[in-house]
Amino acid sequence: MKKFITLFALSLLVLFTGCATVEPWQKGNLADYTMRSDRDELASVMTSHIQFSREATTGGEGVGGGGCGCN
Amino acid sequence: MSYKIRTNRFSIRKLFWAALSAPIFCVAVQANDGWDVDTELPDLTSFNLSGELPGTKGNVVLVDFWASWCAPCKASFPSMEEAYQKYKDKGFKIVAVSVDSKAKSMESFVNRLKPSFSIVHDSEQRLVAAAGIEVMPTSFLVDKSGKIRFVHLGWHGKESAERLMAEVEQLLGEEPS
Repeated sequence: MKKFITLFALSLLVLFTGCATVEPWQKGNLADYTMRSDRDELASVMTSHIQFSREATTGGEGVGGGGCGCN
Repeated sequence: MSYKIRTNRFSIRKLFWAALSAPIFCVAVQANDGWDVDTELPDLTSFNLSGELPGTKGNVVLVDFWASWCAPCKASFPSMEEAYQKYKDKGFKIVAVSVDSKAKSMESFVNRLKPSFSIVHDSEQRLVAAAGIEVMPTSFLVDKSGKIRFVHLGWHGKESAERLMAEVEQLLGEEPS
């Protein structure tokens, strides 16, 4: 148990050395268009289509269809 | 023997708390006070800015930090232009400090909008780091005696525009101390 706690504490120390604060004026790359998950409309529609086809569900994603996977 | 175990336990506990408090310590060390209300505006010429700085002495000055990737910053430009046009003859100056890492990004926005007030580039991001801003955009309104009087955090459309106009008018009506 003692070893476990020691290892846990040491791993926390190692992990926290990687913490960095991104200042407000350094967020240019994060605000870039390429960082958007929905930047490719066609890919988003295709992903939604695959998801509702597999789950046999639809709605809430802006994609039409009956959930049969045939459209 | 029992003493030894207690010592070990104590060391582990100390290590554990040290690990947990490490990020708090890091944040405390990195915290920057920055510019505040009722403090003197530092000499902007000592920050290696590119672009032409207007004469600030004896004028009401708005120092605005913006970037081309920041939508609210860009939204504030038409209102700043309006305020500048309205009050420039009475001694109102605007220094819009771009914190873009690339000059090209800044230039493409400036060339499109063509603001008539002063635009400078803080390519090394030294001035913005000294100002210690917390949100983009942040602007500091400085009175005729060079003291920061108002700080605007973010841009909230009409509300911010009206506040800016009222504050500029107030400061222009004051005598330098």
